[in-house]
Amino acid sequence: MSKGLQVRGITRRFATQVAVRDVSFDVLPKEIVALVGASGSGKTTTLRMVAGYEIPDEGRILLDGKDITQLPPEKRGFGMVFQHYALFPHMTVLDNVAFGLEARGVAKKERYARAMNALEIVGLQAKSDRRVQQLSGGEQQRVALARAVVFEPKVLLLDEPLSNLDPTLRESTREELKNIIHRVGAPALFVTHDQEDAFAIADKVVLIGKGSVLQIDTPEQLYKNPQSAEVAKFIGKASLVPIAGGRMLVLRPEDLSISALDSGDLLHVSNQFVSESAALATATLEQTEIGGTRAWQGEVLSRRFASGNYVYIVEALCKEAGVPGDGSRVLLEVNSPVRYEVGQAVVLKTVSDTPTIVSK
Amino acid sequence: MRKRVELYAIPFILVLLWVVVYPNITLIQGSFGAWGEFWQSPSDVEALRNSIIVSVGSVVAALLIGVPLAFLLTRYEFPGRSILRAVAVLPAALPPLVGVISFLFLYGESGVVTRIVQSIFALEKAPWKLAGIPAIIFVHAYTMYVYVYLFVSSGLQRYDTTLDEAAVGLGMGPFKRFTRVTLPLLTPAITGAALLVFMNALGSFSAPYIFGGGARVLTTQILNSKLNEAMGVAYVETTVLALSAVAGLLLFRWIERRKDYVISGKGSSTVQSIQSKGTRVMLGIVAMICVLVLILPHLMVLLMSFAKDGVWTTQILPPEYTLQNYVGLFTENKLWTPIFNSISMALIATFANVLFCAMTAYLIVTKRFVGRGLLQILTALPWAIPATAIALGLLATFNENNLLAGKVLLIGSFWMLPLAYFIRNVPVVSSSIESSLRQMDPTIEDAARGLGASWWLTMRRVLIPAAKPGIIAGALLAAVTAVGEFVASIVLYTHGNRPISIEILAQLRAYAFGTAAAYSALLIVVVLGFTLLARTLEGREVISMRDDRR
Repeated sequence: MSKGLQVRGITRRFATQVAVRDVSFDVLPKEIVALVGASGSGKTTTLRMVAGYEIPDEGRILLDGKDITQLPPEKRGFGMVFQHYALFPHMTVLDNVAFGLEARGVAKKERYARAMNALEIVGLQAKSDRRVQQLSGGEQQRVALARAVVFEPKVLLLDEPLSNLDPTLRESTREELKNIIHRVGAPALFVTHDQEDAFAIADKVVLIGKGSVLQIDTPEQLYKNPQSAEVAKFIGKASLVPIAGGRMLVLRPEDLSISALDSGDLLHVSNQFVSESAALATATLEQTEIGGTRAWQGEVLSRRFASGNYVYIVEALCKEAGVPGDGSRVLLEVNSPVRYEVGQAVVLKTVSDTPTIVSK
Repeated sequence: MRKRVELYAIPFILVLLWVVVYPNITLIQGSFGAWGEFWQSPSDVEALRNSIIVSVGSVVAALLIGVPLAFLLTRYEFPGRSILRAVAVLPAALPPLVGVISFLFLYGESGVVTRIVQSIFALEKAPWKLAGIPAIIFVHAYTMYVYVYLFVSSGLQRYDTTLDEAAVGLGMGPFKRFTRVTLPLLTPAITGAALLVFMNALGSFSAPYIFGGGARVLTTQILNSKLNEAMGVAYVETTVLALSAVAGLLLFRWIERRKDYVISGKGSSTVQSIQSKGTRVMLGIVAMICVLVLILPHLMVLLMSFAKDGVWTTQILPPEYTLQNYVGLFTENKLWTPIFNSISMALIATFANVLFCAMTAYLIVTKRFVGRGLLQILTALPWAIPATAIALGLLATFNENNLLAGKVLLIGSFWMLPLAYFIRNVPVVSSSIESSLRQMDPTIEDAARGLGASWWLTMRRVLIPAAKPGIIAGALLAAVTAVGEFVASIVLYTHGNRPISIEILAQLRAYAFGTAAAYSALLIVVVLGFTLLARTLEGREVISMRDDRR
């Protein structure tokens, strides 16, 4: 009977604050789940409770239906990769990898053979007799991974496994990590503050903010259907524009196009704006939520060149029907191969007529 | 629920409360009723005054030697610099008492240097007497300037000389630069070293005991009162001594806090080569004289250890030499016993220190629990109590079998000295193991347990190997201090467990200088060897923390 890992309403309080509040999620067999959140959001405390280093004040943790909430880490049989790898500095690579087997009383010959196998999976069998300090950061990360999988763990836990790697190494390691985790076949839970890591590796993302779960979804759904402004702000480089009914329009660079403002445009924009506003005034709320393209007039605040495109930050005046006040100034990011000058007046338009909208 | 860490810490806190704090309370209790006697006794008041004069004088003398030497050796290149650097820390390798004896052989009334001066100037009698407060401060300056030298040197090595260049750029002259920039930045190093000298000088026993002459200080006065069985007065004197130490500690900490700079950065100390030929020659000569003065005491002990007893009368150097002094140590039962005693007691104390302090260090560094701060203070506390006071406290506490009062009769037993050695070495062993554990990545303990390792396997395969340099260094330093210990020993020894230091004193009294020097040479070799070994393992900080009040 394999149900994987179930976390049910765990809460952890420290002296003055609640670090984790009523967090629940599942990691199904063979599933890779990412715990994502900003620093201080409680994701590492959650992982430590799953690993057994912290005990929740409330809630339960189940493994294949058995309550393991109070079980000490050494009895859980989980494999964990620590953020700074926590390799034993006085041991060789092979001894590090074999340690989990030593702890399980596996005979010397067998444990070295199995450790060599694990090293082969991560492509480090040639360096088995090195001291860990002689390895590069990427190699240390792979030793830590081999050490965590060698005893066929019931669950694999990874704390910011990629955060200490440089950007180029990081991208190639993502694929490798995903393949290795699939080969091991255990349910895997990893913590990261980097959504790109999470999206590249995870089947499912648990987004945490201020100790609570914000949303649990696949990467695609999280991106396309954020359920709150907080989620939208965290995922992608979204700007939020208030619209009618206390809702927010989620605008990412790829949702917008930029063009120079000329006199004709001005008329066009204002016309469109006016006509749309007039339409809005009569339309129901539901219709405005999905309705039509929008356009704003704005001014280029800054320009930089990246990946073949110019990246602009535009300050736009957003006046929407149904939003009280004279409108607010928002900063919107947009990409274009065409060059505009800082200070230039421009027009931003939404590309799709079905924008993403969240409630506040 | 799992067991709380507090449960594991409680036994250690209790042991320290029992052997460190409780004896001091007993002492203070025992002192009630004798305070009037103390203040009315002219010799006691004089002893207090002298102790303070000696301590302050030693601080001043150590600063006057240590600070310029540190500047000279870290900032300038001149002939003889490397050899002077090598021997500058040698005085720290002289065990207590041995340093004092070597000074007696060199600068005493019939010492070698004294006789050379006497014969050069054809004087009728010795040109000076090595006695009284100046003599005590002289010996202290030699043995204790090392702390100042080490602290200021390391401060200067971290000191960023671009700060001086910035000051020059801002138009400061050399004098103003020194007083406004360099000196203030070195204040933490200087006050730290001055505190160490003050505490060592205040608790110093050997120098006043041998050279004091008519000058009483608190430590010697305590032993006198104890020998006269005036225990009440002895307890008052001990309390006054301990309070002076605490007052000194607070004073220096206060000065330190007022000038709390952190010297950041790697420091880009550049060594300046002295260009002027005249200055180079002069500095070279000065360096050679310094080297000679620094190694003379060691050489003198070595020389005396080969001198035949009873034939050295008016010659400058002993006239006849023999190996008999050493042969005697290992063949005569009476002479061998102290060596055996010292080694076995040092081993017992060191073993206990390592077991005990490894656990307290582990708890302090890797765990968070109620009482952690208390445990930290308790492990450091014996450092602040002069050894004589520790010894008197033990005397006041372990003098009867009374389990209700927490007292066990240890007076007259073998165990009193190992216990005293253990207490004195708790701070150095703890800090040495703690510093090792601090360098360890704290998550490797979690990692080991997560991999399924039991507590014991984690200890054996992960934590003890990580703490090993600190354990070895701490053990070596503890063993070195215990094997040559004198100050607590002279209060607590019995004939049966007399250690080497007490036997050296007995041989001196019997004018068996050769035998005394042979013992001393043995101690120097052990101390030097162990200290060098410990230093290569742990770096310099631990050495300067070593508790060897003389």
